[in-house]
Amino acid sequence: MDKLEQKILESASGGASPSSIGGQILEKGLGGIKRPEGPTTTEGTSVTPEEIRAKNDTTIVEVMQDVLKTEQQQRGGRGRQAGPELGSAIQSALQATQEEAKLMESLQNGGGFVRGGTEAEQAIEAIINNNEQEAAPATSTEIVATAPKEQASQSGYSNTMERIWKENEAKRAAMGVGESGAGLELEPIAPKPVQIENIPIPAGEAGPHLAVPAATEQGPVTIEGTFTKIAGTEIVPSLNTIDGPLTETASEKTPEQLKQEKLEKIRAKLEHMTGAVEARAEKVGMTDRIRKIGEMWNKVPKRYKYMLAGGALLSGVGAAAVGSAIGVGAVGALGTALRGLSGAGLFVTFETILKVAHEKKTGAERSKAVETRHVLLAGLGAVAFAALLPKIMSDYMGSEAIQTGAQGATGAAIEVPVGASKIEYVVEKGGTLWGGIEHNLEAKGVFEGMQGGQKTYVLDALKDKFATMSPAELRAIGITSGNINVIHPGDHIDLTKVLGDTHLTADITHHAQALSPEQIYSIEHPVVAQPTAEALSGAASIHEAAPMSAEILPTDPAIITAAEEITHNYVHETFGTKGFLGIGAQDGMDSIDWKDPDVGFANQPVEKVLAAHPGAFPDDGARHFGVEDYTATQKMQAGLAQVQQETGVTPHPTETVVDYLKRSAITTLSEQAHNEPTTYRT
Amino acid sequence: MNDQELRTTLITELGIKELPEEAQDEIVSKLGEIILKSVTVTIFEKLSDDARKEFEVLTTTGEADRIREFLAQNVPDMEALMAEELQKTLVAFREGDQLIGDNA
Repeated sequence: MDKLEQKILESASGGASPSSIGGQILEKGLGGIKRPEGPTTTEGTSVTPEEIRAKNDTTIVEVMQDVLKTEQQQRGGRGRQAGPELGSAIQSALQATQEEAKLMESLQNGGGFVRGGTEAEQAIEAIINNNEQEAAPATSTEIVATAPKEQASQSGYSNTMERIWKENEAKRAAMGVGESGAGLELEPIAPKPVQIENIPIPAGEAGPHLAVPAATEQGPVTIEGTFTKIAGTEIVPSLNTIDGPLTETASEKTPEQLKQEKLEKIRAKLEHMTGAVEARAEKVGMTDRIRKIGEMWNKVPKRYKYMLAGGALLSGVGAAAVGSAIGVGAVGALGTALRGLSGAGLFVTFETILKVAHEKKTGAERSKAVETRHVLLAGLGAVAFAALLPKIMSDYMGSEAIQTGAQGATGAAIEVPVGASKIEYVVEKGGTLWGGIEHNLEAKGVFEGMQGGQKTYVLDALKDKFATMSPAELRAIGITSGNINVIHPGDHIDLTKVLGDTHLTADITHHAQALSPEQIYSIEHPVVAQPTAEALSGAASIHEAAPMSAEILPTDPAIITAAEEITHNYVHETFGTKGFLGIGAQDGMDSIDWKDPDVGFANQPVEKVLAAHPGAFPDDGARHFGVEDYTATQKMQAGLAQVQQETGVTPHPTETVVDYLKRSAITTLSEQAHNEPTTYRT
Repeated sequence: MNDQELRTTLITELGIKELPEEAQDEIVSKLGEIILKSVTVTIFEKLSDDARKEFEVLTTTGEADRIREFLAQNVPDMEALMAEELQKTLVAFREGDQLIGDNA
């Protein structure tokens, strides 16, 4: 027998040495010991529980519970996995307790004497061997026995056992428990029930998180909610437990009844929230404004409602977990759509405020993530304030009485203007008639499910309807130039005559859906300089022209310098930013839309720019620039059309945008200088 | 991300996936309205009485530049303000035990 085994016997007998234990013969070793009925119950002894309590204030069960508690604390927040581990630990602990009880029982005999001898030693050895063969968690006996050997690497579990061992020894000594340890027995104590609700549930990824453990014998399982850590922010609850605290109990209600109950609960909650925000509005004297926001919101197409609410979540300022599949670019695309919904003016207002404030605060440019968040917040702010600014509201979708229910050729619900309601497009800098039509149809969801070529077909067909109008008719609807390719900022164009004709739009979308793949391809890949390209571009046309010959190149340095300055100013006005009080200003020549080697307009052929039709809501969800960006391309196309209109200079087939702009300026300046036409324009 | 994916994501995150589509639309619509209103109210709460009167004037003109200057001057930390209000609203929707305005 080694020292460890001796220590076990001392523990079991209250300090008696093996040599002092005598008499009791273990029947059939461990196998012959009658198993106690309860986890900590011992039988066949003459000592009452009260007597034991007086001698030993820490039972083995208590020790084990203490150890388990400590162990669980050290695991700290390992979440759901704690469940099975804890259950296993408890089972092992109870088993250990039973083994201890059996050992105690076998070492004690009716007269209160602890028996020992060879058979007792063999029994103890059997326990040790048995424990060594078992996987963790070990019994308390084993842990106590092996602790000294593993001093260098002992765990918190071992430390706790060691501490408890020492404390108990001190108590025994203080209480005068005899060396013999006679009469020691365990008091039956039921194991404490496991509080499942205290086990932390780890946050999940995006998607349904309502993880509900199976009900246990302890009764209903209660989950207080799940929590998700958003990078860089405090921990906030995720939105996946709309039920709030859940108590899973047996229910006889049908699924339909449960759904209805849930809906009613949510309705009540939303009503309460509405009441709360209206109370706040009343305090600051904006009850009427809040009502207007509500009225305007009711007119917003459904898909935009999803965009706004979804944008709040995806922006990271909400409370949801954002899955890896949802990228920054996707949110940026939402911003593009929201920009159109609220009106570019207000959107830019809010985005600029956020951008300038951020750069002023941090002294650095915005990261993509910050920019994305700003785009979404700007969308929210712009839509909200659109309701507060009557003039702006009337300029945008707020003026359109929208009703739902009409079915378009795509099968999706199309929200169409009510009969006589005016559909107006207010031209901003860089705007085009094509863009105005597209914006309107996008807002109504007409393009949902359409390929690029189908969308182009619809836009082109509708634009052709305007093209059939006479200059006088065009002026009557607000195109002051009388030319659909030349529209000016500030023009209030009434689109009702064409877009308000629901039969016409439904017929066109129906034809678009019926296009063959070959037809769609040919629309998406137009042959430049063909009439169809002109029709599809919505901007300037390209005329075949001979390259400028060397002998007519301008040589006047003053004209060249002036032309370059004109080009610079034009680009800056189109793509530059003034910033706020100069902060955040950027020269248009340095903008990515202009100078990017791949997509920047500077080195793109004019014909490519005019034929480009990037989507306002890209499928890939990424943010685009230059010729791949909807807004920038609209601006550039309008600019090129304006230059051609005002200078009469036509672009060469392969001429780049920057070269075309310079040549146009040189041509105009030279003609003004010499007061006669030049050959530069061809 | 297309519209359908956005819708699916939103519905899932709000925990209303099992409800009928009409009910989902109703909830999203109402929640969006509350978001808009609460964001607007929280901006107004930051304005002084004089600033609110000034805003009255601005609303009649609708000049974007002046509105921008006004908001930048009177609501310097708009981003944090809006973000916090959004978070409050969404958390209130989930929990219902600390609703917006309860502390107002």
